[in-house]
Amino acid sequence: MTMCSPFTRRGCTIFKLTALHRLWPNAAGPYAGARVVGALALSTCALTLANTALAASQSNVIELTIKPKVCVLNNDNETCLDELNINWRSDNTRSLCLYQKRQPTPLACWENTNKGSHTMALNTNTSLNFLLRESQHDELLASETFEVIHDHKQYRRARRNAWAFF
Amino acid sequence: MQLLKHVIFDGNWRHRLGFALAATIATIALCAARPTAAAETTCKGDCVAVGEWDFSLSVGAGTRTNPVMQQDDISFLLVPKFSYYGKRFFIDTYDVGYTLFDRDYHQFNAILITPGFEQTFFSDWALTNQDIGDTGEAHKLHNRRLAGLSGFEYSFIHPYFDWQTQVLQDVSGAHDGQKVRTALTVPWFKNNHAWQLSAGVTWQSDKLVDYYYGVRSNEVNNQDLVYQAPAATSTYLKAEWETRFNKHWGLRAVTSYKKLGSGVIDSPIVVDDHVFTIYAAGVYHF
Repeated sequence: MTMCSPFTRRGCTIFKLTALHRLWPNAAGPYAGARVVGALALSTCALTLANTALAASQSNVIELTIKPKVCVLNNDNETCLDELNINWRSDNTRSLCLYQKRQPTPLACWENTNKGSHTMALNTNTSLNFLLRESQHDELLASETFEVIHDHKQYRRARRNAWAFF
Repeated sequence: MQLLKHVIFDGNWRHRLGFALAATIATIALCAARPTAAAETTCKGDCVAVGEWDFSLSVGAGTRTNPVMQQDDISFLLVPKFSYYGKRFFIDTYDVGYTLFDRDYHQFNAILITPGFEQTFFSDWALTNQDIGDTGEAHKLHNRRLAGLSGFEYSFIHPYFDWQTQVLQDVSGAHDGQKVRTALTVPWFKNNHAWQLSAGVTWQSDKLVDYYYGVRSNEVNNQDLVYQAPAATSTYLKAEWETRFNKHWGLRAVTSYKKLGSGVIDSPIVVDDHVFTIYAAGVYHF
């Protein structure tokens, strides 16, 4: 199920739904049922189609993209487990390093190229910040955040009511 | 609307309701105190958020035929629905209950209170013995009050159908009767349209049927007109459809046909053998 999401400003969120055995909640209607299942089934959840971090440096634009971008955790899912793809692209060739914030060691570095990608396994229950720095001068060129949202709502099965007045 | 009027303004009803609720809650609390695997549900697509209210208001047109002599059919324009679910406690529009067991295919609820909708057929009650062919001194036939019922409800929830059964007892003192009903419901969902078909049977005890459809000996001069109603079994078919356009707006339609039991049909104040309902509305979800 794909729906526009407040979590992603310029993209969409893809909900991983479990098999929908039923979509007839008594009082809430089919949309609410899907919404609730979406929330329940979210273990890893978001794909940003064009969520970019733009930074102007030396009059050039660097585009940093991560996907997925958002993970919603609830009581049944305590950790976001997924594969994170990080991509960057620039108009000019550059020498750059990708860092996770507060980590001294870079995740990856590139020499004289205008694009790069890095894939890493996610195992987190907190948001992660990624920084793209110019290798020589350590200048911050772009940043992007993998956001972890905690949804502690509890859910239960709706009651059936074959004799509802309406 | 008549039902709401009774619930809100009838002081005697409130007193009885409070007593019934207190007694039933005490009973349920004893049961619930035991460490059972009650609310560890495995909801899939039919989940509701715990601790949140859900409101909707249907704005449309519909009618329910009234089988009782000289009583108008019941019109529906605005139909509110609301629900609140705690971990076990729930309010489902007019029903208040407590979930004792909810796992896999099975859900077992205590119904703390649910209204007996039979009274809705007697909302403008002014019938006299002369209306049913009696002669001599006129007597108004006895008032039919709204009853409050308590009991238990079991639902077998299969991915492709529900089978639900209720056993209910009047706890409001209106008629002290019982009601047992069972229904099979087949739901399906396609392209944002939700459909639901139900078929069911309702048994009403002689006390219940007699209270609403009986004619007492002190109400008529000709004792041949006395009607002591026996227990009755009715059957019904119901179809519902609902769709949503967006977060707030949708459409809904309901139709049902109920064949009344012979104990009801044979009453001198009943002029029809069935109740037909149809209603279509736009629905606003708050």
